[in-house]
Amino acid sequence: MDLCVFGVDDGYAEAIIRGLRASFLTEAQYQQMKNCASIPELKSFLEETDYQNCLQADNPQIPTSILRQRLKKKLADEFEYIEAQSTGILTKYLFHLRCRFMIDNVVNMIEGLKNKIDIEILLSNIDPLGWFPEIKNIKVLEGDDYSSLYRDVLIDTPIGVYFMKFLEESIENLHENRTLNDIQNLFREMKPEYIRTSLKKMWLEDFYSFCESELMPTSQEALLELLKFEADFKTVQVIYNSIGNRDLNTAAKIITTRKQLCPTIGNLYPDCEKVYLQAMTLDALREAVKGCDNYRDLLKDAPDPLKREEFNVQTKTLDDIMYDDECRRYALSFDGQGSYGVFYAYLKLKEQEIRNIIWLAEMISRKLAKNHPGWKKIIIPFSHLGK
Amino acid sequence: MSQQIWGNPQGWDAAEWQSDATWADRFMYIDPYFWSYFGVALALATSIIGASWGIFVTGVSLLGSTVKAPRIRSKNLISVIFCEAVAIYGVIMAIIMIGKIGPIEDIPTDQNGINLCYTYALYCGYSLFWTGVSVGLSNLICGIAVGVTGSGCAISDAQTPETFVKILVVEIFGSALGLFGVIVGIIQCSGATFPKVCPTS
Repeated sequence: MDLCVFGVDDGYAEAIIRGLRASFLTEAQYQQMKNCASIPELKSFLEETDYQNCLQADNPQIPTSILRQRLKKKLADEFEYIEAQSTGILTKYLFHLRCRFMIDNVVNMIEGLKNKIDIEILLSNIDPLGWFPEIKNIKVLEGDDYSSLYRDVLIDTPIGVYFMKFLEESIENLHENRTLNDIQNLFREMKPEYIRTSLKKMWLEDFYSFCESELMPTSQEALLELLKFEADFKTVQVIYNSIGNRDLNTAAKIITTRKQLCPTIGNLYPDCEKVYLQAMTLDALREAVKGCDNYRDLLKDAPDPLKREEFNVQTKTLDDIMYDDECRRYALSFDGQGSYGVFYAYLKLKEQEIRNIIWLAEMISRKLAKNHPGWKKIIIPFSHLGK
Repeated sequence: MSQQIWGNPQGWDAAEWQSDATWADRFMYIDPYFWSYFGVALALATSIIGASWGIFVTGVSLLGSTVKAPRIRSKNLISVIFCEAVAIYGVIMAIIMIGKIGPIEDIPTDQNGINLCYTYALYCGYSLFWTGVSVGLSNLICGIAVGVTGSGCAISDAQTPETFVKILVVEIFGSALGLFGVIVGIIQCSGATFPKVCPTS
């Protein structure tokens, strides 16, 4: 019965996404882009595709960073349109999707402020998908007091609840006789990647519980599977990156870091948790995930993280392998009608496309030879469907 | 006097109605004209509910897909026309059924004659009511089916133009369901004209 009443509130928004799905670049178009000899040629090619309007005002020799800003702005405008046309639960859902980009923006701003970069430059570099009105209020107060930055300013933002949880967790992990100085030092020295991964993990879990409680069964069917896979992807990534990592020198440190950063949803979570928390080599990781899905096949070809220094542009890293599988799943989620999974998949695949275009633009601007292995490093959305 | 004993086979008066009548008697006492007009309303209203449900479901998807793929505009109006046809079936049946209803000119005065007349009228009334139900319900479901398929048709046409004709076949089969309802309905109410003059035997 979902299908009979889906059209009432959400049919229009879904139909627009379907129309936008036809605007993805095909393999033939990627081939043509690879054959472009210079950036102006690439720009004029892009103007014939769906990206026509956003590049018209710039000069032909467009720098890559400006190109990225324009493409992202186009995606953000489209998404804003869809969000404006949606009602009820769909609006909440789309807003939730954007929180992920807000996290990125805020972490980037904080890092930029720590390194004393001018706030205007930071504001012009934020991802337009993650814009929210309170972002202009982020500035460091006197005395480099980061914890009060977290407490007072970020609380008002839509992602404030994640920062609160993060604060509590980090302060908890300090030793018993902690002083105010310790807390200040903690935040000053914390790595931005660590903050980012923690916050995104919390966002993912929050999003999962939102989907479980508020969406219709058709949407849940598609979305919960996608989110579980993404959580497993994050877990495997965290463990993989912590094997042989120079900063984590004791086993206890490794385990606490892993526990903090691995999401608690997904196929791997309760069953394989003990095993993967202890995994210290790639083979142990493979053993840990062998029960689930096709993860074992995915990890079969992964390069050994202990030999990290030997990686070059030719190795197919774990990230590449897992991105490939993720893109296949997102492409498959477009096959059902009446589910919210298409919004999520569209956002992810469009981001992947923008990454591809920027990668190719970089390759072209460096004028690398055509047999350089970097040309093959793009993952084309919908290529698995054989079209 | 005759109106008071219309539908009153044992010739009871008010007190006897209170003490001796069963539920079956009271059910039989419901006027045949009530049944027949109710049938007309059902046929018309539920067909139109089905057709409008179908149109709104398919119209929404059509509008959304056209924003990015304007070429599908004219072709996909066929889905809307199929849904509209379901409403037209309902209107046709309602008009046929109304043509069969009419007042009875002279009702006889003896109880036997009245009972005969009443039985014939009941036959017409029930026939028209259940015709309305069968036509109305089948058109209701048919309209929803065509509508949901039409929305899928618009969406997939925007993505892959070759699929349009194939999905149209599914819609044609869907709209045949409403046609079945109309055919059976016409046969069902064919002999059910209210008599102008009461039958005498």
